[in-house]
Amino acid sequence: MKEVRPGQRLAEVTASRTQRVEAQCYRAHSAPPLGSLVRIGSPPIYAVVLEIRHEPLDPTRPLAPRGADLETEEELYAANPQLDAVLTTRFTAAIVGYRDSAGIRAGLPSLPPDLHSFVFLCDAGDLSSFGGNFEWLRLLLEERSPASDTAIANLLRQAADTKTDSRKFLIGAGKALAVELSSEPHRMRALLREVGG
Amino acid sequence: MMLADGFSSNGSVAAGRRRLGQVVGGSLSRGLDVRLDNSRARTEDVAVGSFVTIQGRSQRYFAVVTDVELRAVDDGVRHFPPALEPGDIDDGGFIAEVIAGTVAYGQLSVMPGMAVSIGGPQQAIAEQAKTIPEHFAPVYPASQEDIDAVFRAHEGDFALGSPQGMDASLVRLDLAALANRSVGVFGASGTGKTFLARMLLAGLVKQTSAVSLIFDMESEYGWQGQDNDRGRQVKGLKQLFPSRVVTFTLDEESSRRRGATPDGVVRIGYDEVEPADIEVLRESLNLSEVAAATAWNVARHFKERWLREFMALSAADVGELAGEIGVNLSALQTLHRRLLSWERFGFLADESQGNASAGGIIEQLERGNHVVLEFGQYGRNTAAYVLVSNLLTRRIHETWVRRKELADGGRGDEPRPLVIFVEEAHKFLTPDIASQTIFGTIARELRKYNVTLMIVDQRPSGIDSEVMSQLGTRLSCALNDDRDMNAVLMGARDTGQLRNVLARLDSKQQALVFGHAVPMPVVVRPRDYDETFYAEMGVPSGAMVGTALAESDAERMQREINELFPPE
Repeated sequence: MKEVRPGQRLAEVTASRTQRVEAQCYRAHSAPPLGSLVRIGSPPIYAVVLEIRHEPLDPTRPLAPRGADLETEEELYAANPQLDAVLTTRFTAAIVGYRDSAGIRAGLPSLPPDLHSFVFLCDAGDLSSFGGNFEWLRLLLEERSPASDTAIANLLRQAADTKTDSRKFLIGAGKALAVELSSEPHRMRALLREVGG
Repeated sequence: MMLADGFSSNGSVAAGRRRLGQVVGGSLSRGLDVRLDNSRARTEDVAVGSFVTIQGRSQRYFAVVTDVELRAVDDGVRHFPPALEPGDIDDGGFIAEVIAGTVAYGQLSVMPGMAVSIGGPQQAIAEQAKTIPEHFAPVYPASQEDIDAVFRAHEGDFALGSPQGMDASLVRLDLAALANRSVGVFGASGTGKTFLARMLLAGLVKQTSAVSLIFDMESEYGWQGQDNDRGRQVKGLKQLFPSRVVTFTLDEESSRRRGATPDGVVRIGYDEVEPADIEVLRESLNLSEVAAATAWNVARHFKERWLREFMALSAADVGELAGEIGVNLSALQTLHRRLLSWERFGFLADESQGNASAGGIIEQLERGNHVVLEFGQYGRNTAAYVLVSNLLTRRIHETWVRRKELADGGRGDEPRPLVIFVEEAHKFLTPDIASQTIFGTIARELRKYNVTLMIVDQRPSGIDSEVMSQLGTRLSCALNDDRDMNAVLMGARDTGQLRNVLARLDSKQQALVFGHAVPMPVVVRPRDYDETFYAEMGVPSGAMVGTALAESDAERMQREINELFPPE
């Protein structure tokens, strides 16, 4: 796994639908972490990383183990320099907002991002302004998977780090979550534990 | 997500007032549900009985909080409160803080009472609420202006005290309305009902044309009363209004011992007692129905002086009499024994005085003076209290009825509105005798003859329900007994909701007031009965007590006449 920096361009859109974006990273194992907020194209569309897949570039050529006689994983990659060319990392992100003349909005844009749009990892400024309201929570909560709930928690904690009073921010976010999930108390508890923990 | 503070479209909500919550449901009959904004108001901040205002679109509503409730969107919160879940202990209360005010929240039940149009003329009058605000109307704690708008001062209004939690505001009573219908003052002993009653009486003397006749059982209203909590004496009506209050006594000795100078002494002739009085005294004298009924036979036998002659009989004579008039012997003996105890009643006079007992009192009342009748030592004897007040009231009522009928026929003036004040009212107004006593009659006939009652009692459940429901205004301090609380609310509107407020009154210095004299039910902390109050009643602060300061010429003359020619 390789470190990615806020603001860095790291992938391109390979498929896009109204609610979902598929992207392929420039380098294998260089994905934005689960729950990262990414900025796509221009004018920007915002999406949250929900699923990351490391896989062979060509799905018809499955991988086989290569390191039986080697000591470390680094040796394995060094002995097989072609791997960089045949391995890739792809991820799925849920669209949660976009920017128009009025600023950043939560919700779905009228068109999904173009193919080959560049994908950037958002920086603190984007995170901070995006965290201003919690309308986007509803879109992510609709995903209903353990990965999506963890993504919500991760995103909220990242956004909280950009605030001067992060606890106050998390309490506010928690309240918004509690209202949305009032009919699913168990899920609410689990998610709140992730957010507050 | 949250609405901005204060619907400022009409500017009538003071800036910076904290919103308590929003109306989320309810009805006019059942009351409104108000969900608390937990970020701004907590359940601990809102007391039952306090006032709130609800900002509707075209009306502002005034409501009383009748209940506070903890609610949750989902039952899970009740079964698994946050702090009890494993792993949650170290979250620094995060989950509890998140859940409070979202899925777990506080809710108020409020009863809308009055409403005032907004956006109309500045001096819009508050009226009974006949509508309710829309969903999500914001709710605020009532301000002083709100209280003033509801309890707007009129001529003759009387500042009784402050609403719960608002010491700077004043609740005003419409004393004219108060005197117009019968009034009940209730409360367990030691809750301050005597102070409340004394204050109401002072208000009546000061501010209305009505006169009152006070049957002062414990001698607390005339010259001075006791403030047991502070261990001091307080001024009675005579000290506050020397020129408008006249005191009579049944027990001259006691009055003098207490340093009071009664204006007259009341004596009641044995021949004034009627068998009906004995019926009323059945409970106080512990007589069976049969024994009480024999009084009628005895009276028929002895005519006018029946009581004196019956009491003079020896035990043997009583036996003879039973055979002669054909009544049960043991019943007659019981009656005789019980009546013999009346020998100790110093106020019973041997020779007939006609209507003299009530005459002096009636004369004072007709002159517009208020009369306090002190019972002295006889106040401790329920039979004496019931006998005297019943008998005098009957006489006075007869006079008022006659005057009223003459006035109706165009011959003479209307009699003055008269308020008759009795304590221990359950002794006169129990369901089985209420129909027979004069008090039951007065309560039922309303103000047909310009006579109303002010009853003070600690056991309202003992009072006939028909009488209770005729009370125009009720003031109740804390009561301990469920039946008493139900009795106080009998026949009132919004009983269920007021019940909750009544049950939670402080044990001292708080009263629920509802009925004719107030626009809407209100919990009041009565004002202090102190120098400030005296001053407002017209007595200079620090004035010497003990001398009739403001004695008028007419009064002085009357006093001198009384001294030269004692009333008895």
